[in-house]
Amino acid sequence: MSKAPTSTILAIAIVLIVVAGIAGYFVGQTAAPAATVTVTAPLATVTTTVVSTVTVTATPAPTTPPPVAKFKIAVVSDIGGRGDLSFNDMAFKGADEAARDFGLEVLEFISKTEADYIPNLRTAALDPNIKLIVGVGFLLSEALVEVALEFPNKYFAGIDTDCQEKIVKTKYPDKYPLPNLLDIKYEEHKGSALVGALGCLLAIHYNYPHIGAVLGIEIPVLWKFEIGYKWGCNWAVEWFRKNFPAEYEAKSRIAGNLLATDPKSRVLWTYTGTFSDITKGYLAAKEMYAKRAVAVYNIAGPLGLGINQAVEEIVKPLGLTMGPPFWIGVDANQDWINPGFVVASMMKRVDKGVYYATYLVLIGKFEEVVRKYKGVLLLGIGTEIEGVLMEGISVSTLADLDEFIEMGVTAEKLLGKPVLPMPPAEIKRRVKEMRDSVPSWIWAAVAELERLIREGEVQVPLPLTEDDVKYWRGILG
Amino acid sequence: MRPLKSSVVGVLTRLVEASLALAIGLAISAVLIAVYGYDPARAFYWLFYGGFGTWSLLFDTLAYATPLMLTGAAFAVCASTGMFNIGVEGQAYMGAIGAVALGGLLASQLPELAPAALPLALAGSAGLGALWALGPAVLKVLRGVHEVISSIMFNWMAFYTAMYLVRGPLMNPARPEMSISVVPQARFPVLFRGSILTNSIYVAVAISILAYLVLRMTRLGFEMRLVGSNPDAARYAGVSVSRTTLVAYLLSGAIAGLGGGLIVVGRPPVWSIYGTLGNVVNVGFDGIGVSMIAANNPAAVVLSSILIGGLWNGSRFMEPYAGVCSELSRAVIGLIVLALSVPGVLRMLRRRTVLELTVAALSAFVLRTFGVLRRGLGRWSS
Amino acid sequence: MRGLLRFSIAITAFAALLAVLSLVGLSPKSLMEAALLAMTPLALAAVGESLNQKGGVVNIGIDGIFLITATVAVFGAEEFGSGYAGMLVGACVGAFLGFVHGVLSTYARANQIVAGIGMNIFAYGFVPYFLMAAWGFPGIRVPPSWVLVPIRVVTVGEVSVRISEFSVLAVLLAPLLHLLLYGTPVGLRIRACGESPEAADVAGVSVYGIRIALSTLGGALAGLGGAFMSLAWFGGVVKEISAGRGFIALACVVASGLEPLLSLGFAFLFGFSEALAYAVAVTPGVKEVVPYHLVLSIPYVVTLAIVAVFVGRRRFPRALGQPYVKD
Repeated sequence: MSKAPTSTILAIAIVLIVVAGIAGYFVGQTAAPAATVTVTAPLATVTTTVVSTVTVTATPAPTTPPPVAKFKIAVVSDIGGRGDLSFNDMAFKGADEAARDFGLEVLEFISKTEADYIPNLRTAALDPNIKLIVGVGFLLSEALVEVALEFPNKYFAGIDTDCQEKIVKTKYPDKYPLPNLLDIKYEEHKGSALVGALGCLLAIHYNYPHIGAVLGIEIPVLWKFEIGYKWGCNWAVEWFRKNFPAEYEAKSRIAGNLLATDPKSRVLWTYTGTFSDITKGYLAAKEMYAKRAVAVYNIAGPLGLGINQAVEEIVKPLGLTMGPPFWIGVDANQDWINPGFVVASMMKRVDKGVYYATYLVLIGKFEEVVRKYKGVLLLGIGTEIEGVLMEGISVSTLADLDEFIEMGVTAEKLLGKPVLPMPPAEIKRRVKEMRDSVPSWIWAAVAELERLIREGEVQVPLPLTEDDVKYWRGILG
Repeated sequence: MRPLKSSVVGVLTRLVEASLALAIGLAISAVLIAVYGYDPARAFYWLFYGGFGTWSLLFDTLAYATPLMLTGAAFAVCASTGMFNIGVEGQAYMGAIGAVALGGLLASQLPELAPAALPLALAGSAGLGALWALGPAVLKVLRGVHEVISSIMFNWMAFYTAMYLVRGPLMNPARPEMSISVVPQARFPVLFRGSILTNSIYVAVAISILAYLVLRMTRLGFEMRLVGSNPDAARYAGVSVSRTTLVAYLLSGAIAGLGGGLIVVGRPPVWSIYGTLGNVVNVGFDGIGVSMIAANNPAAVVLSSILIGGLWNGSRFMEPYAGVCSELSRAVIGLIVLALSVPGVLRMLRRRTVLELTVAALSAFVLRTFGVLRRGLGRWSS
Repeated sequence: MRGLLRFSIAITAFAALLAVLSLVGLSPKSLMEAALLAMTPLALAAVGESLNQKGGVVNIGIDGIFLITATVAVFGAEEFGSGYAGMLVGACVGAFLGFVHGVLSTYARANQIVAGIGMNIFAYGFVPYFLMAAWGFPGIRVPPSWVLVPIRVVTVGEVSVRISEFSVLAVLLAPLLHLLLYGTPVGLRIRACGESPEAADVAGVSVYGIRIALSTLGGALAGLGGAFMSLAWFGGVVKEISAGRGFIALACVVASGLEPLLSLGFAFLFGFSEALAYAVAVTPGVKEVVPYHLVLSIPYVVTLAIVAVFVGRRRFPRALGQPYVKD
């Protein structure tokens, strides 16, 4: 290794000059932190916007105006972050709406790996202007508890998390419930039961033997979707037998109708082990449609794109403008992605949860609500929080579509590129046409199940442990 | 004296080369950032502030670097023996599984073992990592299957196996979304409040340097390097190529396994594996980049992993404070590796080679393309 | 002759497998369609890469090329309003990346493995950034459906099969390149560059020229594969669209011993077993018996088993991966 020393020295000199130049540039810049938008939301605006966004049955009576002058909210995403068109995007939608309505600023912290959770939460908490930090996704539970303990004067909200009941209660029982930490959870099993019933009745009506579900990585949240969906299918079969006994007999004898299928094989399902590789969603859905599933439920965020592609390749050559076959959207209203072929979406209003948490901080009632509800808000069908109807779960309706089309239109204006697959009016027309083509007794049955759930007359199973899941799989397939 | 001097010069040269590559990587990224209308100065300010700006951020950087150090060293050991162990990824998964199996499941079943839980967990991760490396190694020695094919397949098999184990036998019944946690005795203590850095970094540094010493100072290391540089010569010298291959692969697997294990026993707050495997995924692939920057030298891996850890940690700040997609830091790392693939980047500066002309022509082409893109972008935004 | 015999044995075995599968209720047609789609990007990239490696250059950055071209192809398709234009953009960008790799591996004497890994890492970072920068939406882009590349429906008698012209192209390319490699003077030169660049140089062959050309061709084919993924297969791009397929393509190349025909076979094998894995996984009653995780690892186990049992040791060009230094 006889390298000429001059070359090394020359090189070092060059590097030093480059580094010095870069450093000098930075010093000259005096990079200032991001500018802060400071708008103090007047009380009246806060109330009216809440009225318009959250369905209010009893007007909340905040006594003090929002005391914060400079106020930001931070959203710390799960890995994957934005762009799943469902769970994470809904959280950001809520934050963006809150920012718009209350004049705040949203900072996005995207977690690239799970190792990012604590550093991201801490970074957000260290920012003096950030008052509320929202962690999106149950995997952030431990990290949220750690950081919430460290920063008692900041507020933390977790979507889908199990901080208070599972961690604080066992690890720090004297601090339970932690006053600055709110878990916002959803009753996905109920919504999944509704779309399960919908899919099942579609299969009976159109003479298909199966319905399908493509799931992501097997985690407890997805158990709720899976079992709820299968349970809903079973409920619908019973409902059909009770209400249409003659048709039930007739359809049971048609080979290839769901009623003639072995009860444990009615729902085709598989976990794919991914929330990102859309090819897997495509492959799984393709097989389900090849086995004649009338609708496939997307329980894997972006994998819905793969499911959609599997539907497209069936319907395009046939020139169909509406299903069957269908697919079923998740979390957001995904009906617009392929109008006519997404029969409905199981909406999990993560946006409402984020919005509400921001609202609570603004009106200074965050800790009060935490105390009252032991730190856990469970949003579902017919939930009331502080006298406000906070429905976190619903099956998408035609009216819901506007809100999401509006998002698309805004994005199109911003980007100058098409986001929606067709003009808004056309989307609405196609969705409406598709919905009208589905017999009204099916919609009525879904509405009836919703009423029964709301009134507590039926209980959708809620699997929390592996044993629960095994038990229900043993019954439902 | 002579070897010492030459190695010092070698290290210095490499350092300079690496800084030059970093400068190249940053410069090209700056172009990418500027083309799309963001502010490169602001992005880089937050990138470096986030990586090294305060003590606690620096400690976080070291925490990010810890497992990368080991997967990087693991790759380097194999590379010195002339093999491309792309399987470090899968071996790291299995290492994490080993740590949970022995440090979590076993230690909680048999409380008398709890005091020894930490060594048990580490042994478990090294052992299982080595075991997973055994597959490709044996296939290579016995059937001549190229290690790249077998490692790619073994990585995917490790992914699904680990997922199955975390969802099945190793599941935490109270928290079904993750595996059971290792017992408290098996956890490395956090070094500083306000950071996720634990004592585990000492282990990582020690193992990396040990790997370097084994490669440089021992007979085994000499044989490994000989097999790597010239298998025929090794054969003539009476070195068993298959035995050395096997040993190198197992050693590499054990170190990679430890890297995965340290994520479990050395990083708060969960001390377990998520059901998505999210906290171990990519640690091996990132280690490959770390090793490449360090010219496959396990001792230099310590430094390069800190560089990568810093970029990784700092990139978290780019998104919220500069609006630049944080994953761009990966592109910077890729450019660094690309720049370093060319030997003697330094010498290029002095020589007017064909390469220089090519590079100049290429950059002109790239810039023109981006100019076109930019005009295009300007058109849409108006 | 032996090759033909083996080929017919393989075909017979495969037909028997299909018959068995249709007996247990799986649809061979649907499996074949899915397998052909999954095969196409792998085969395009693998065929190009096997030629590239015959000439002595390893490009381990195929995964990165897949990712970048899948993304840029969507951009191009939207820009020009046509899916085929997008495919062309993908091929061109792939060719450019292959060209860069070729220049690095020849004139710059770069370590090809390091350069390839660098390309991959760069792509993993560049693609999410580009998605965000170009479309302002992170992680995903669904282009309007009129810029996608349609998949044809071919009706033969009673059956209609969905097939893409690019799958046909991939299947045709393999024998063509095989002929080029073994039946033409150009092929001889290519092999000479891989086996003994010194001798080739003495004989007046431009080693660098051939290597760069092959690397460019390999990049273009991989780029076509990447564009196929986003424009024809899925109708959209996500930031992890390649999901390691570039490495699978590489495995096909290495397993085939750099033979274009065999690497096509391996690409099909992998595509088929992937489709099969999902067909098995959604069949009711399977998950009670076998954990689905194990079912989903079928493609990897099958590929590994075939390589280990039937293929084993391969002879690679002597100068593979070595930079050639002109004196």
